[in-house]
Amino acid sequence: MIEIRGLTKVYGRTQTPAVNKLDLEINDGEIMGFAGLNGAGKTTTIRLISGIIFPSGGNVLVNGKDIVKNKIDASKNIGWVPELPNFEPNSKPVPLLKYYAGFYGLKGSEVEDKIEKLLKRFHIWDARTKKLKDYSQGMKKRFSIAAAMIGDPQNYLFDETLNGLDPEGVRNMRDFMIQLKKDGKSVFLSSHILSELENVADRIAIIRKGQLIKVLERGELSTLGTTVIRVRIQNMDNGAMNILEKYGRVESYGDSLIVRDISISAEEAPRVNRELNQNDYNVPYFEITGEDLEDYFIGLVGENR
Amino acid sequence: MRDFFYDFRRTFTGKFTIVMIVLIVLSSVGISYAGAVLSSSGSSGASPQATAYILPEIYQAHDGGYNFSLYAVNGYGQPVTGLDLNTNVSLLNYTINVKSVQSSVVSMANFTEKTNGQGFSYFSIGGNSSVNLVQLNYHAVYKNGLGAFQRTAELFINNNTVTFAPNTISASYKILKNSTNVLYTMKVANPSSQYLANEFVYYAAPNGTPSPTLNVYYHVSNGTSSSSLPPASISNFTLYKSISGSDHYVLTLPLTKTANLKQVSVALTNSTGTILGGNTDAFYSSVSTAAVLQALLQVPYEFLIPIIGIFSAYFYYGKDKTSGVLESVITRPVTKGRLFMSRYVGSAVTFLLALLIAIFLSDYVLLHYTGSLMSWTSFFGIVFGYTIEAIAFSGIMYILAQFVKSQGALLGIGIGLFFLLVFVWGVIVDAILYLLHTNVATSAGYSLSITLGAISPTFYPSMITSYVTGYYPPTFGITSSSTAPLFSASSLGITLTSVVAVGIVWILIPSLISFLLARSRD
Repeated sequence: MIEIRGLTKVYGRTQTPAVNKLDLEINDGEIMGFAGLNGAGKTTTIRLISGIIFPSGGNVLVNGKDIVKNKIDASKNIGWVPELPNFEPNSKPVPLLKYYAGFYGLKGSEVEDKIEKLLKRFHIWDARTKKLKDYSQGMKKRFSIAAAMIGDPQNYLFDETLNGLDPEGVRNMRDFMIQLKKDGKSVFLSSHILSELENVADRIAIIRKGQLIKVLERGELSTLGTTVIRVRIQNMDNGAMNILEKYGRVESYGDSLIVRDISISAEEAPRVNRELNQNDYNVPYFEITGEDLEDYFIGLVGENR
Repeated sequence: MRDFFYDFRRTFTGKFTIVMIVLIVLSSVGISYAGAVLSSSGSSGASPQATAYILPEIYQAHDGGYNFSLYAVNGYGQPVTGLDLNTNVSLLNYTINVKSVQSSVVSMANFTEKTNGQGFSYFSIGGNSSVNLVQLNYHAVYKNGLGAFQRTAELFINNNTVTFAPNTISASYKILKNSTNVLYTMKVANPSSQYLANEFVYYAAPNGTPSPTLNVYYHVSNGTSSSSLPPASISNFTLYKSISGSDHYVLTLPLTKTANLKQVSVALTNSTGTILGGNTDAFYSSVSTAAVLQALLQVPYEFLIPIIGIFSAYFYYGKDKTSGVLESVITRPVTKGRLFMSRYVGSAVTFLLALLIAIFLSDYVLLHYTGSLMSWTSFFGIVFGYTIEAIAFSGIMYILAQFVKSQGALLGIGIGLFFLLVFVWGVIVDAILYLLHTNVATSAGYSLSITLGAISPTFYPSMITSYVTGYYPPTFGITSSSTAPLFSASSLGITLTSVVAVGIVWILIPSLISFLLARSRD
């Protein structure tokens, strides 16, 4: 289990925080998707959790151990899979995994058996005599997963791991993550491929400019396809809000509004626009649409926001 | 701390460590060997220590035969064991008159002996009443064939008078027939000081009989002539001490280093004041192993040690840090601080081990040429001096690695640092001294020069050498005829305290700074 409390990272005094007061929990046996645009703070968050960089504020507890104050114990339960695996290029996989295993106190035949199983599981056993610099990107990624698993941690951090994988690789990864979940591990998966998050994640945390803006439950994901009304009202006031709230739950994002869980059918929905017009509200944008995750995501974190 | 020791062990047994140790050891031993071979084949010949001094004794036995005893000592007056001695003994009938000199060989024999654990070689030959001259030719081959020499010693027998005339080293030789004895005295090198020699005394008597009480007198003068003969008088001599109970002595006279290059006469008397032996020599020790090694390694090490320091920091830590490879390790159960320290300590221990092996083996290589090993003080002085220099250079690189973000930039800055501190720093110091109108021939000028020089780690080996030798310029005295001004190290502030303090600064400050940066920076 990973508990993130008020996590903040500021790189420079004059810069906006890369991560700003982030609160999140990733439970055992759960896959938590982590979505955000480029530069939103996903990778920074993962690097903070893994102990590579230090937080400017807040803390991260890995199975109850603080990643800064109790790094050794916390790191025993972290498996980090970076977006771009970066290993000593002249190393070969077996000696490098042995080196990593030593930090977990593993040695002898135990570690050799484990390495063999991992390399076979990720289909790089036959390439074990090659140097890592001769590995393809996909092989490196698979090796980095094996490297993350060498200490059998309780928590896994996947940073854009699905990027660059072929469809088979994506499917294998998905199956692998689901297996981790079944094994009671917690998985934190950042990705741009929202459909994949949708496929595997129990929850999806959405981050924008370093701030957590939404955590979607699995149940909410299933209702994203229902009809919603997207509307922008230039002279927005409480009266307009009252009108919209008669028809459903209103979420406000600046001057844009989304009405969810509408109480009328899609065919009847245009009457909402009529009522707004009749009450002298200027409505430059009104759309009745079925929503998917991507729409929802763009709506939340899009450039215009 | 398990993570620290684990990564330290891995660092210490890594490929680069092995390469570094092999590089330092092979280069040092190779340089020592090549340098020693070249120097011993030069016109000046091998150093005095490269020659084992042979002190012959010939005793005429009661049956008329002759017993030979050859005692071998090195340039420090220490017995040389395992020395191959090829000897040829001729018993001659020798006549001399106004018209001619005639000699006929009565008998001849060859002996091949090796000196025993005490440095002695013994053999005998039967005698003849017609023999009045015993001629002993001995040829020693010192270990690997170098330092070979040939000497002839002759024993004239004329009734009851025996004279002995070896055309060998500048020692005083006499031999007395049968149960009488002889005193050899000569100057030998002092392993603890390159500036002052020791006096060697060998009391040759049958069966290694210890000497009776001998009074040792000495006198320092500004003269220039050396003599293997005892002084005629000891009227203005100072009594050093009385010796007895052994057949050989190495005496360190109570001289200050101001006696360096001056003539020191030594006389030994019996209890009644009769002069039995002695000699006069300029009391400097011309060459020691430390001097040879220091001279041979100084220039190559001036380049090698900083390069090793810089590249080790790069390969052990900087390369991985700047390339991001270290991140895959940092996510393991290890802290950044301990990971840094394991690499830093691993490299420091590697330097120490490599230099210990290198200097130790070089010392043994030079043993064949100088005939002696370095003193422990000189040995550790050289080892620690260069180890700390390497640690200092690597420490600076470890600091830089915390800020520089690319491998190329880090390596480039490291090489720039090498040029600055190795090549340019001396020029900068000279320029500063020039601008300050400082006279470097004065003690104050030298002090300032040393202070400025100490800003570069390249100075540290010289500093430690100066402390060990007691003098600045900091050499072990490869030559005795240097006209450069010589300052007492302590007068320039080079004391045990300053040497230790500067060493600690070079070890601790860069490591502490880089450690704090490593554990607190992303």
